[in-house]
Parts: sequence; structure tokens; C-alpha cells
Amino acid sequence: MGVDDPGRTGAPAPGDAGSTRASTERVALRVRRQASPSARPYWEAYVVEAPPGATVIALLLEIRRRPVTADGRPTTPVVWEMSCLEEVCGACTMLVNGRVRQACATLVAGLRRPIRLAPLTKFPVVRDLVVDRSVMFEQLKRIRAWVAIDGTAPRGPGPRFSEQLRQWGYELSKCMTCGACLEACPQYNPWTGFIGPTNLAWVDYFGLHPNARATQDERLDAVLAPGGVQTCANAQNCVRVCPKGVPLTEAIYRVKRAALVRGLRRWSES
Amino acid sequence: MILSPMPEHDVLVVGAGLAGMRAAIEAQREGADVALMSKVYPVRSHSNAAQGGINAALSEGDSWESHAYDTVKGSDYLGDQDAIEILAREAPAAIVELENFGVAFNRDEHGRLGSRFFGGAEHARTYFVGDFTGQAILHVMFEQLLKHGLTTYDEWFVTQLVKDDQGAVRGVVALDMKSGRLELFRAKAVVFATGGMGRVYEPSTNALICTGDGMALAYRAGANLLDMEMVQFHPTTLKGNGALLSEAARGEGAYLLNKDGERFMKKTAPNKMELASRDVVSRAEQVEINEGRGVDGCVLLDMRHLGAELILERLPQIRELALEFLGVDIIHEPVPVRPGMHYQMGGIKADVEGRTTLDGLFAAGECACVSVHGGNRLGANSLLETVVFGRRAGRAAAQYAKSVGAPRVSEAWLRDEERFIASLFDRPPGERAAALRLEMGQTMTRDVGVFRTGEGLESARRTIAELKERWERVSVGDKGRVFNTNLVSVLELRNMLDLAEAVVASAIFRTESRGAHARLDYPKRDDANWLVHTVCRHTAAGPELSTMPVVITRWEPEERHY
Repeated sequence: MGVDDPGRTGAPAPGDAGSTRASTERVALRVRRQASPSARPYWEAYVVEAPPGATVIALLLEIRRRPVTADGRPTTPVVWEMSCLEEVCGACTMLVNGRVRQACATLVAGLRRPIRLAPLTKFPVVRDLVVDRSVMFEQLKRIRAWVAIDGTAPRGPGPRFSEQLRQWGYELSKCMTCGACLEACPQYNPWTGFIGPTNLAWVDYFGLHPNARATQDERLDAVLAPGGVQTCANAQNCVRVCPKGVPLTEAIYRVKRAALVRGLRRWSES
Repeated sequence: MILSPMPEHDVLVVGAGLAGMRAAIEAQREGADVALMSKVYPVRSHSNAAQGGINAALSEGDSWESHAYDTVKGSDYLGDQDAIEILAREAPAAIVELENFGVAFNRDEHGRLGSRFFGGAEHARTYFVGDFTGQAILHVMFEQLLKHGLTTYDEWFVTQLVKDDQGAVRGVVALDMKSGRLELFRAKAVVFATGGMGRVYEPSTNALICTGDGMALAYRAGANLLDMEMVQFHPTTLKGNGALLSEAARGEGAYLLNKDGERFMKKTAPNKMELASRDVVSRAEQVEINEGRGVDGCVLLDMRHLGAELILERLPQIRELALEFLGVDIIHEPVPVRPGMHYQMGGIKADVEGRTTLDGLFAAGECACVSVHGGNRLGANSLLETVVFGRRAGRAAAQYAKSVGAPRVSEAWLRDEERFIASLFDRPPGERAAALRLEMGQTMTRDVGVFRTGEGLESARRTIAELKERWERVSVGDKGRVFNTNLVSVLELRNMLDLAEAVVASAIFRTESRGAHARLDYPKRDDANWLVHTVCRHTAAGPELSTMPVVITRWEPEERHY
């Protein structure tokens, strides 16, 4: 969103004892620009001052402050999404030197120069680094990712959980719908219609949850359909890029097994 | 999204965090045609930053009365006790509902809900999912939203409340950020669940989207704001970037130390120590820092004695934050923290059904002031407020919508807004929104912070007035229509400046110290004169202040000891 100059980007927070404007570094940066969904994309180069400890967001803010290209030409400020600046909201996912990262938690130090920032490639570009990830939310509907109870009826205390299930539930609950796993997955693209790693993890979660188990067959049928669980070729990129460490491959393995059982049962009953 | 030429709904909920989603779900259950509008996708809302948990008197030996009393005491007796009773009474059912929706709450050894201690509470009544409770609940609420198939308008920014000829709120004008187009939405009832105004301060624990848009829109439209001087400073925000380290740390037993290694809370809160209410702890920290017993403008939060296993299991996000941004591993080292702006207790005056002082407008969550937090909110009561009062506001709005006819509002509202936005684009190059916001934020932190003085507040009043004038010359450098964050930031800044003005005026008005409002020139709580809410109304001449009584049902004001 719009407010800039946030102190949480490693940019020196004014009035902050301990921060210093000394020893900034001039960082070469290239950003892939695109004015609108239908416009032609192009790369633009900048050189910006980065204080020690700066994040990628701090570089973008610097361009917003002084929208000038590396060769001194005035330009429009780069547009991107950001919100929490503490890696919980999933808004600022982008490609940093070709790798999918949360810009708010990616430190400039240690990145190869020039740093290249680009929008995610698996989603339609809205403008510059902003992409439309609404497909992720649509797909949650495809797998009926919810507990299908009507909360108006008093149900008494919730279900008891084993410690094991609780721990697993914790791990899967960390997903922030950032889209990193979809970006990295070689099977995910508009042509395969693959449902993607994070949705398969949610299927696993609902299959275990005492309140959601009853309707698990519907979800397994959804992942048995084209673009479902068999599309996963086990490249394991998803688990490597997940910023929250969600155990995606383990969850997918479990869903594959459950779907296989469901498929065999359907076949034997037909 | 395909729009009918003139989108119209029974109930339009603005803001898709927990309060907004809960309100929308409830309004639909009541049979209303509901739409939910937000400037971000629902799962990116700031509710996901709530870490520590959600309160309810569910455990053996605890009672709703105890929860209510702790909340009243925490509020420094400024909370309305009828509303607090509802909050505490409805809390257990609200938690059980979330549990049944599928939230993976922590369990005890029997597989039932397990709780932790939080500040200002007599019982361990905070239910949690590690230290990412908000995110876990937000996703589950979003799943329920999907289940109900509600209409959502994602990435739409509301610029104006719209009224009919009788002055009732009957819709909004909003900007579709993806296309840059303005649209008039008609609705029989509008529910604001637009969240807090953290970015009025710099630094703040709040996300960048927390710009108080709903509060400001309602205020300019004539709604009363309540207790805006009550701004919470969280005791443990990370040195440097100001990120929040959850109260869960102290709930699990962390110590606060000064530079001599002394647990200084024993001086001000010998019983509750680090788990006194937030206003008390933040002041104690600030005193240590001001009197030279801090460490580089901070105090130390020490978790070493909790052990690696507990930290990794229950405080993983805190560890990650400290490691990522300061390079401090809390397993082995104490982490420097200081008080940081965190929450607005005040907001749009709303009753327990979410009704505001404007006909047709309802409010819930942080943007509203019901008032259950009074002068100081207890940790883990905010998530609770979103679900309890979100539900009530959604229900009330749906019932209200049944009682009124089709919304009749003029297209002139839309044309006026279009002209206004065009005039922003037409401004010549001038002031930068970012520079003004920074100056506002630093002014608020310096002069309207943990401790306040009449002199500092007057200085802040002058600065904010000057910034408001300069806002008229802020330009929108980016002329593009698609996803123009520059335009949105200029509109957000206007909202924030109006709220900053309301906060400062309210703080000048209240000549006592209560809850989070600590005035060095009026250091005592003054129940004889100030056991009242501050009411702030927008006029052409600036904020107009008055008071209204606090509702007291069963707990007479006493001196607070922790």
C-alpha cells in the first residue's frame, strides 16, 4: 500500500539511536517494469544508496523517493505491494535475482550485483512488481478448503486433538498465501491447471481435522481430477522456497497416498 | 470482477480483517445480501500480525466476571462495563466457534484447549496458535468466507461515505485500484471494520495499511470519535525496526532487565511484575530509559531461562524476528526492546450492536470504540473484540437493512469524488506525501507518546495544523491509473492527518493521567472530573470536544495495583 518511509526496512529510522547514515553503499539495481497488464515489459537500471542492514524494500523506497534511472533520466516510481514488513502478510513476494523472496525480509547484503527485481512469472502482471494472485483464493474453493459446519448451531466444546495433530496443524497453519511455492513449482502454470503445493497441504490438514474429515472425500475427488495431485512430479522446489518452512512435500506425499486409496476405492466400487 | 452498472447490496462491509469477515458472515446468515470490500486481499489484513492469542474464561476456576474485572481494571476504569460484560460473557462461545471452524489452537495434555498467561490477567485465559494466532484465525475465517460464497471487492479503496437526503449513510464511493476507476456503491447499511491507525506514528508495530481510513471517513462524515488520546504503546517492540515481539514472551516467563540486570518491574508492579498491564510496563521501561538505566535507548527482554525447547515450540516467530532483523538469538542472548505505538483504544463511537452516531453506519474492531478497552487494552482482548463485536455488528446491520427501503443516493457523490481525485492529479509538483507522513509520525511519537505534557501537545497541534496545510500542496507524481499507490498514499495521508489532529486535541482536552494517557503536568487520575469519555466531533473550525459518561455496572473505580 501507499505509505512509504517506514522504519522497518533497514532504512535508517530517523531519531533512532544507534542507526547511522554513515557507510551507505551504492547499489546497482535493475527492475522489470510494466505500466499496465497489457503494456510491454522492459528493464530499467538504477543506482541507489543503501545503508547497512537495508532490505530490498529499502531500495525500492529509495527509488520512490528519487525516481531517477542509472543514467540520470527522470522516471516514474516503481510500484510494488507491501504491508506488514515482518514476513507475515505475504504481500511483497517478488523475484530477487531470479529467486522468489519476500522483499521485506531479504537483506541487500550478500545479493549479487546488479540486484534484479522482477514480478512473479506465474501470475498476470498488474503493474511493475504487482501481480494478480487471486487464482490462489479461487483454488481454495476448488478443494473446498473449509470446515463445512454451520456455526449457528451450538456445538459444545471443539474436538480433542492429539498432540501430534496439533503440531502438524501448527506447521500447516503458517502458510501466508504468498505464492512462492507456486512460482517455484515446475508443474504450476496456466496450462497444467495444477492446484499447487499449498492447496494440497490444506487438503491434508482438513483430512486430519476432526470437524472437516467427514467431507474429505470431496476434497480428494477434487485433487484426483486433472491438475490435481498426480500433476506433482516431486521436484521439491516448493519446500525449498517456502518462507515459512511449511512441510509441503511431506503434506503432498500424505495427500497422494490418501488420494490413491480414494481412487482405488472409487474404482472398486464402480 | 464483473460489475453491474450500479453495485448495490443490503450490507456493505468495508475492511476484510477478522472483524469485517466475521461481520459479513453473520450478516449473510441473517439473510442479507452482503459484500465485503477491502484495499487488500482479506488474508493480507493486519489481523494476521496478532501474535499472542485470544482471551476467554474457559478454564476451570476462571469466570467471565474475573475476565471482565481484569479488563475493567486494565482499562483504568474508562471501559464501558456493560460492553465489557458482553465481551467476557460471549468470549467462550467465540473461541469454541473458532475452534470448530478449524483453528489449530494449542492443546493441553488431554487434547483440549490449552492456554497461557497474558498481561493484566488473573488467570491463564489466553488461547493461542504458537505466536501466529492472528494469522491462523484469519485464514480459517477466510475459509468460512469462501464457504459462504460472499461477494468481495478486493483492492478497492473507499474514498467517501455516501448519504441519502435524510442524512443516513447509504453507501460509499470507492477506487478500484486495479483500474483506477471510481465507483458508487449503494447499500442499506455500511459496516466499517477498517482497523487501526498505527502509521499516524513512526515507528509503529502496525502494517503499512493501518492508516485509519475508516475512522477518518466516518469522522469527516460527522460520526463521533471516542477516547482518541488513548494510544497504546506496546512494551516490547524490537530495537531498530520497531517490529512487535509478542506479549507471549512475558506470558511464557520472560524477564525485563535494565542495564544493571535488574528486573525493574518489581519497583512498579511487585506482584504481576512483567505481566502488569501494558501501559504500566511501557511507562516503567520509559522511566528506566529516561533515567539512564537503559541500554542504548532500550531495555532488555531476557528469555534465556525459558530454554530452547519452549522457545522453538511456542515463540518461533519472536526468535525469527530477533534473529532476522537484529542478529540476536533469544535462546542465547537478551534482546533490546522499547515501547512502541501499537494500538488505538479509541475510535468511531459504537454501541454494543456496532451502531455509530450516524444512521446506517456500523463499526467493529479496532476502528470502533465500543468501549471495551477504555484507557488501556489488555493483550489478547483485541482478537476477541473482532469476533464478538464483528458478529454483533454484522447481525445488527442486516436487521437494520431489513427495516429500510432501497438506498436512494445521488450520482453527484460520484461526480464530486471524480472531480476531487482529478484535482489531486492536476496539482503542480510540490510537497511529497512521504516526507509529510514522516514528520507527522515523528511528531506524534515525540509529543504524544508514552509521556505527554501540555507544552509538547501544543507543539504537536501546531505541527499537525501546518502539515494539514502543506497537504493541500502534496502532488501525485505518478499519473498512471493502474495500481497507483502514490495516489492512495496521498489519500491515506489526508486521513491520517485528520486523525492525528483528533488524537492531539483529545490529549490536550483530558487534563489528567489515565491508562495510556500519561501527562506529566497532570500526573494523577482524576475520577471527580475525568471518569468520562472524550468525544471528538469534526467541524469546519477543527475538532470539537465534549464528554460523555462512562457506564459503570458493578465495579467502582479503585486505584490500580499490579
